[in-house]
Amino acid sequence: MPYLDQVVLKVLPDGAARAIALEKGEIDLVPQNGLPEAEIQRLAQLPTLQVSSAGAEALGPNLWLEVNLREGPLADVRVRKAISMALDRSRIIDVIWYGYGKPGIGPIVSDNANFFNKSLKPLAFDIEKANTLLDEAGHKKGADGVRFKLTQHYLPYGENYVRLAEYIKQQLNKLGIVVETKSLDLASWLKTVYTDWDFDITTTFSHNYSDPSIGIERTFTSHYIKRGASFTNSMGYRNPRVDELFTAARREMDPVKRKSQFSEIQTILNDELPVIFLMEMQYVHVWNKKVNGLIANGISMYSNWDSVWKSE
Amino acid sequence: MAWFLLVRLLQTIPVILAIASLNFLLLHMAPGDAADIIVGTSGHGSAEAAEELRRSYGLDKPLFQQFFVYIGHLLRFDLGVSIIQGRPVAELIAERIGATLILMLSSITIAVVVGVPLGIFASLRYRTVTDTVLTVLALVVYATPQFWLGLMLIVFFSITLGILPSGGMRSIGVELDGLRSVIDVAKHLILPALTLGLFYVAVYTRLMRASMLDVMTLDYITTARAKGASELRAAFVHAARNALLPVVTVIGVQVGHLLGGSILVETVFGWPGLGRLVLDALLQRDLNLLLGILFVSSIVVVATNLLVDVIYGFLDPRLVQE
Repeated sequence: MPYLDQVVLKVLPDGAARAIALEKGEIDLVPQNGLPEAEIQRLAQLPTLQVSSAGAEALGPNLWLEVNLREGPLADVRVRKAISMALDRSRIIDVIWYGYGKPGIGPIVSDNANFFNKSLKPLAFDIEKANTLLDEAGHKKGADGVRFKLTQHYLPYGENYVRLAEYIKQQLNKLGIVVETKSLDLASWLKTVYTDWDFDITTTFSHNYSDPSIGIERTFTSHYIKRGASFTNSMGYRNPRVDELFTAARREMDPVKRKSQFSEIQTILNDELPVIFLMEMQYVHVWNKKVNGLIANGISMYSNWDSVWKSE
Repeated sequence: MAWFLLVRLLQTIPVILAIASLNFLLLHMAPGDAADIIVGTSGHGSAEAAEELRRSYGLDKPLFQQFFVYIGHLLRFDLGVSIIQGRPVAELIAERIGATLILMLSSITIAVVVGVPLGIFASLRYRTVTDTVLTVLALVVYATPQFWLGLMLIVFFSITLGILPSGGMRSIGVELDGLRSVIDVAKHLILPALTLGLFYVAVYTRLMRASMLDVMTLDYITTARAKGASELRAAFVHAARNALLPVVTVIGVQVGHLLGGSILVETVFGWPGLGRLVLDALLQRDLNLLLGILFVSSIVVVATNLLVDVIYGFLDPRLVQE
C-alpha cells in the first residue's frame, strides 16, 4: 500500500462537464455532490458507474435557515415557528435535491447515533396553523394581504440554493410575508451575514462532525456572537441554559451525562428555532466501478486512500 | 507609417493607465475582501484574524494610499503577489495566458477563415435560396447561447461519436512529448475553439456579406467587369480588400469580447486559461491577481487594436496619409 501510483485532481468548474467526463471515462470519481442531482439520477442508470451516499457519515451536513433574531418580527418565536410550518421539507428534498436528504429536525443529524435525540418532534408543515400563529403574534394581514416584509439571502453555493430561495419566497408569500431575495457572491455574502449582520434570513449549512462541541457549539452559543467570525452565531442567539450546557458538555467525561446534556440542547433548539432546520443533507459520490476501496470510513473522501485500487 | 505607429503607440499609454485606474476603483467598490474569503472559508475564523490579514496585505490602508501604491508598482511592471495563492501574479498569468491565447487565436482563425468566404459567397448568391439559408443559419448560430452550444458539441462529438475529448487541455495520466503532445492539445482544442469561434463566424458572415453588397455596386467594380473581369475575380481581387475594412475593425473590437467569452468556454471545457483564473480571482476577491489579469488583458486589447490600425493602413493607405 498505497496501491495507486498516482491520483490526478482535475478541476472542472462546470457540473454538466464533470458528468460528461465521468460518463466518458475521462475521470473516475466525482465526490461529495460534485454532480448536479439530476445528473446523479441519470448516471445511476449506467452499468459502469457506482453511486453511493456512504462514507460521509462523520461530516453530517445540516441545512438550515439562519434568522436574525436581533429585532423585528423574527425576534418572536411564534413568527419563526410560523415560517417553519410554511416549509414542506419533503418537497424541498424531493424537488430540489432529488430525494437526497432527510427532513431536518434539530442541530444534530439523525445519523449521529451517539448524540441524536430520538424524542425530538418533527417540524410540522401546516400553512393554516402558520397563519393562525402569525395572527396570534400580532401580525395581522393588511388590506393588501401583507403582514410584513423580509429580506432573504442565500448561500452562494450553486443552483440548488437559488431554487430553495425561490421556494421559500413562494411559501412565505402564502403567509402574507413578502420576501425580497438578494443574490450575492461568497465574499459579499460572508460580509453581509457574519460581519454586518445585515440580513433577515439566509440559508446556510453546517457540518456536525462527530462531536457537537466541534460541530454546532459555534452556531448556538452567545460567546460566538462576533462580527467577522464566519459560520458562527450570526443570529445573535442568547440562551444562558444552552451556553451552560455546551460549556458543561465540553468538560464532561461521562458519555451518558454528555449525551443527556446534548439531548436537552436539541430539545431547546427544536422548540426555540433560532435557526429553522430544513434538511439533513446527503453527500453523494459517483465513481467508475473499476475503482475499489473508496468507502473506508465516515470521511472517506478526505482519507488517505491507501487501500484504494483500480482494476484493469 | 512609422509616424502613424508612433502616434498610436503614445496614445495607448494614457488609455491603459486610465483602464487600470478604473479597474482599481470599481473592484474596491465590491463588498467583502480576500480576508473575508480566507477567514470565512477556513471554518473557524475570527474578526481579529481577518483584521490581521488586512494589515499584512495593506488592505486596511486608506483607498487613495492603496491606489498610489498600486500605480507605483504598475509603472515598474510589478503586478504583486496573489493574496489567495501566495504566488507572484506575473507567474500565475504566465502559466495561463498561453492557453487563453491559443484558444482566442484559434477562434479568430476559424471565424475569419470560415466567416469571410461564407460572407463573400452569400453576397455572390444574393437573393437566392443559398443566400437565405446562409443568412438564417448565421442568425441561428448568432442567437445560440455559447454555454448551451458548448455542451451540445460535447454531447455530440464526445459522447455520441466518441471522437473528441470532453474537456481539459491534455489527456490525463499520459506523458506525451513532441508531435504527440501537439496533437493531444489540438484534439482538446477543437471543441472549445469551435464553441467560441462559431459565434464570430456568424458575425463575420453577415458583416462581410453586407460589406460586399455595398462595395460590389461601386463604379470601379463596374469598370472591372467592363474590362472583362469575371464575377469571381471582381469579388475576390477587387472588392474583397475594401469590403474587409469593417470586418478588420470588428476583429479588433471583438478581441475584448473574446477574452470575456473565454471565461464561459473555459468553464464548460475545463480549459486552464486566464478566463477561469479571473473568475476564481473575482469570487475570492483576490484583488492583486484580478487587477493583474485586467491590466494584461487591457494591453492585449489595446495592442490588438493597434495591429488592426496597421492592417487598416495596408488595406487602405489613404488612412495613413491622412
